Amino acid sequence: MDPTVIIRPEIALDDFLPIFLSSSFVLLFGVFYVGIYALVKMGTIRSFYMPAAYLFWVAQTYSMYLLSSLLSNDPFTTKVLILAMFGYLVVPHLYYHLNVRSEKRYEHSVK
Amino acid sequence: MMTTAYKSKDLATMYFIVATVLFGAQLLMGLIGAVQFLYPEFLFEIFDFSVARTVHINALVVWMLYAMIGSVYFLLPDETGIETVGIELGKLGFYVLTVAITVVVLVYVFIQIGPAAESTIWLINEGREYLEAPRWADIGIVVVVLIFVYNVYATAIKGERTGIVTVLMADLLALAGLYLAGMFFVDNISVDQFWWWWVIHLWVEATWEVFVGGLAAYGLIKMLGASRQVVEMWLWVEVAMLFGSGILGLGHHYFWIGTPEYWWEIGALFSALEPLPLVAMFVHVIYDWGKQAGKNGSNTINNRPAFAWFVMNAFGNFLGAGIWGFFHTLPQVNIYTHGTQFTNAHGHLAFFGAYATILIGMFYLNLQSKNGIERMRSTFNSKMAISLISFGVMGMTIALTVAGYGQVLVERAQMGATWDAFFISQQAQWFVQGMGWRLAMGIVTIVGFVYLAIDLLSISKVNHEKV
Repeated sequence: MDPTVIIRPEIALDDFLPIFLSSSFVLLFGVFYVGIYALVKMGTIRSFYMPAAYLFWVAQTYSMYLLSSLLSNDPFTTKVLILAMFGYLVVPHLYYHLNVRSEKRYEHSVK
Repeated sequence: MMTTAYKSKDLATMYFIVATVLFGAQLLMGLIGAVQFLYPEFLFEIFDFSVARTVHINALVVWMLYAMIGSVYFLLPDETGIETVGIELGKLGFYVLTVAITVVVLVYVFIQIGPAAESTIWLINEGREYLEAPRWADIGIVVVVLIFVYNVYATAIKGERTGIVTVLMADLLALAGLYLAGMFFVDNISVDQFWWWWVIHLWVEATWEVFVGGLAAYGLIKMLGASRQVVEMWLWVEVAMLFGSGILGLGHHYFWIGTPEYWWEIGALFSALEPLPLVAMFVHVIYDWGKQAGKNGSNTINNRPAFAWFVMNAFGNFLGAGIWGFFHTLPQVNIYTHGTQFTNAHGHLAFFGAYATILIGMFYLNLQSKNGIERMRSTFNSKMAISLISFGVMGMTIALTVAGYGQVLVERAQMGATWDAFFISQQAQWFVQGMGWRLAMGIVTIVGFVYLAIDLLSISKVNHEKV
């Protein structure tokens, strides 16, 4: 019987804090992005702030890239994660589109 | 007790009352455990940490199940337009479940363990973390849940089937069926854990989250007068996303327990997608709130304490399940954090944020309906309850995260997760201080619970607008 081999990813001690922070920032920047986007679209804040939403998306994507680098992911996994970030970019547009369409469709419906 | 037009809502009240009592018991057990972390001699061999922890966790699961069942009995007449079918059977189920839970808790407290024989599994404890109930109680729980599922299906088939009811019908069947995965044993511990996680993960990260989506949809319609079609459209989107990411997100529990390596990729990818529906739910609540406020001004919300808890749910779900889950969900990090106070921090904020908040909101909706209140205002006690409980749980989470960070570095990264490493890290300054702050914040949470209990007993006597 072959000896048991334990494959354990090694993380440098100094990398733990940046890993936890960057992974938190992925979601925090993400929520700022969708939050500002939704508020601008709803007219609650001025469209002047829309670039800030996209800047948060850039910061979110960078955080994900940093996280992936610190975890020493293979290039394929890094590409998949960055691709997922483009998913995050598209999703609020899709949500808003769905909202507007359903609002129009059911505007006068009361139940 | 004041009765309502529907017996179903009265049955819901019975479930909510027991849920509140068990919530209090859960906090008390947590307090004892938190003291024992700092002072291990406290109640040693009288009420050991192992007992306090078991009751703390099982009381949590059970009070939430009570509140969920109560919530369904509460909303069913509104959604279907008819009285719940099989209400007497439902009452029987309630009494059987309550007696069974009482006996199980007494066994946890006074007997705990038995000989290594089949009789122990049947009568005392199955020995599976989080699902310690003995087998007789397991079977009883399945029977009670089947009665509940029958009532929901029979009512929905006879009455109107809204989108919310349809989602709940599918969800409850999955919720009940998954419990069966925790009822059998296999000799191989990895295979055993493989099935055990079906109950734990697929309940809390799939079926329970979908359930919360259903409650949020119902609440937004009831409290804000949001358009049913829009809310249900969101609900279907959330259901698709929750099941899409949550089912295979199960993989993040399979990283290091002896399952095949392909679970690394599956777990990492789908776990990374799991926060997406939580963001969707968050935006959805805020969007509907903003939209309805724009239409109706300040008169939008007809139950302020319930709505405050629903909003807290949107934030708490995102923070607790989303952020605190995501930062240790990838396999490279998970091997260091698994089973440390990091997991504990995530567990506290996620259960509170995702479930406790919205279920407490349902308590207030029930009180409003039961007492015929048109617009329920927040009282001083309501505000103190939500502020102190939220501050306390958030404080506990941060304290446990600090303790967990110390544990990850010392026990796992520097010392290689050995037996000695565990004990050395338990004595490290960061760990001990973290546990001290956890105790302090736990006391804040309990004070908040006292305000909540007083408020639930007294808020209906305050001068609200009556129907």
